[in-house]
Amino acid sequence: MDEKRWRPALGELLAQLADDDLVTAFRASEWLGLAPHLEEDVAWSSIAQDEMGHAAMYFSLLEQLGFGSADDLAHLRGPADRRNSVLLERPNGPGTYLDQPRFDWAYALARQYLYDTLEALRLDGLVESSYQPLAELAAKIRREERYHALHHATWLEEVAQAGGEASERLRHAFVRAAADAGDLAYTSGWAREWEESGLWPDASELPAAWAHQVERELSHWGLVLPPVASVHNGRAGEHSPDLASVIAQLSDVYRTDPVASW
Amino acid sequence: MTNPGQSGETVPHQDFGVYEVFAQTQPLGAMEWQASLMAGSPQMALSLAQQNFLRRRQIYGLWVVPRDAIAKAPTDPTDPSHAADALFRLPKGYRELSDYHYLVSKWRQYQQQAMTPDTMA
Amino acid sequence: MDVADRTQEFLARLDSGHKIEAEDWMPDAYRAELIRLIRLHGISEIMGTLPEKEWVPRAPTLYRKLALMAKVQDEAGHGQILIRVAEDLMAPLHQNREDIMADLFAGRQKFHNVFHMPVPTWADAGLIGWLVDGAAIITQGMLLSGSYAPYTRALRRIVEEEGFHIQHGESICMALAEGTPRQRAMFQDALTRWWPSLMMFFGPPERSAPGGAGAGSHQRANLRFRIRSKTNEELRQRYLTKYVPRIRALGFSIPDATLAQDPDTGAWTYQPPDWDLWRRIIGNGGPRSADRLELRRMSYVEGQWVRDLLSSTRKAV
Repeated sequence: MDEKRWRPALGELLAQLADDDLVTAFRASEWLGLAPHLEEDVAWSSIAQDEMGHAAMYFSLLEQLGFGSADDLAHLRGPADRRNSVLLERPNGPGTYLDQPRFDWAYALARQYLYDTLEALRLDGLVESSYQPLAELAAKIRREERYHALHHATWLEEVAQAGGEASERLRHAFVRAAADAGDLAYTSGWAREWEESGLWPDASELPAAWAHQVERELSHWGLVLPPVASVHNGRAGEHSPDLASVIAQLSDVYRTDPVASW
Repeated sequence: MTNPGQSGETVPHQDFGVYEVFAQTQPLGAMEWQASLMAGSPQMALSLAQQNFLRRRQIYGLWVVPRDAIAKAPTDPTDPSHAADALFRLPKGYRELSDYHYLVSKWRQYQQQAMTPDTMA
Repeated sequence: MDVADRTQEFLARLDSGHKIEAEDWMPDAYRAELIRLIRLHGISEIMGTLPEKEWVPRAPTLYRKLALMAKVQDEAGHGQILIRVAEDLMAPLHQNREDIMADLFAGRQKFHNVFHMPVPTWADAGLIGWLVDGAAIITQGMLLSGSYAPYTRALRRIVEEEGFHIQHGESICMALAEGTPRQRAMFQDALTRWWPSLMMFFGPPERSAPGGAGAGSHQRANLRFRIRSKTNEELRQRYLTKYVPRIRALGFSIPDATLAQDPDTGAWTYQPPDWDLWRRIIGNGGPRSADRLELRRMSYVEGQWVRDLLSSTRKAV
């Protein structure tokens, strides 16, 4: 495949990877200092940092390919240029991290689980990428992601098996998360390009593989995967108003002077 | 169940088993693992630990912990829950002292010395 | 041996450099002073996450976001370590961290004056990392030689991590100092805003403590119990010696025309802060006290079911 075709396909793929992790890190970092258990606060922040770190690495690949500087890409693009799943941009609950945070730990766990599962499958494919820098990065990130998946699974199991209010909250959380998860595994019409170019060899298998694994694991915890739907398709740059507010906060200082050294 | 007094058999002691021994060798030091032993009760384990492993050393604290009470991370490095996760953590570049070493020469430009925790306390 | 004799013997052991462990006998007053100090330290770390976390997503670059997140995470971690030390001391009184939180929400548990203040710009966030953490490390460094071993062990770990914190703060402030005129002005404004709070950081000198006679008794008791080895004023003097030259070297001006160092003794004279204002601030009357307490309270209430879950799991095992 010639460069004219694989370059935009690679840019699209890296943007999806970077944007997913950036928005995930933002939402995870909102819990900092506010998590329901002191010990978990510290643990959750390690995961938020890892996700932000992964985003930074994907943005660096984009920078090396000439798509713009990593910080410009992270801070200055508008919602229409962002490729993250809408599920990941949703708030942790009513309120903000600065004001009246009625954050929902069950929702955070459910969302994180759906994303962890997707990410693991996606990285399994990307370690075989024909674009060597991405294949190498995916291998490194995959190892770190395993700790996240394990941590979240430990939590999910405890909450799911607790019964009562906790399990009820978790069931509700999965209903809400699934209602936005439609674009999570959606490969946005690029799957053929990615597969033909070898950038992501088994891209088109992702939606089925994800649904299959999630259903199997949830049933192990006595849960069912509620209907997966989507109001917006984030992979095509269609987002909820929540993303605009995320970008406004992320870029609050940077956009005042993007050429200054901070 | 037979009565041990009558049959000459003994009822297995509930606390019999392996105890891991930890000792503190400095007044402000951490508890460090020393050895393990078999004992029938925590009290016996403490006494045996003192006589077996620590008779030549000044110690400031001594713990014995039933091995069964210890949850262990797998030692197989390919296991995802392996304890040495730092091995697999990607380099961060922002949370180690060495990440800020450039400040030493910066402060020199301003005729000042860089500060470290040692020089501050 | 009666309690008075036992206390005399205890004090003599402290004077000979002996360290106390959690389960050792200790006079009630020693336990009470430790609980008071370590609770204040621990809860200040926990409330101290809030001012800086306001800037975690807004930090200018990906790198700064990551570093600030790591720093605030460390503070939460220090809070956790210290609250555990306090909980072990509180156990004979049948209290734990839930009591600390209840006291915080009821206004009975104070936290440090600096964490009641607003953080309106990125420069304020950087200043906290450089100058507030610098003050904290001077206090903690002094406490490292204290008589209570579990606190000392916790502080060793904390001070090690603080080494990263002060450099992280310096790094942000250095970038602003060497930046555009607007960046420099942003830092100068933050410094002007924060100077009185920094001068309050170590608390009043014994003599001018609010409340007149008997005030400063905690300071005296902690010195006698060898929990601390320096007075508030000694720490403040040390801080000025360390930081005034560095702030000036970067070309910033300190908003105190009376600030001067005696060339012979090295002692600093300065405009004393308004100690009545300090007392109002730590009595939750600071500009951001109510908001931050509400933030903490609301997230605590929302997370109650999670803590219930964890404690029920523990019982089931």
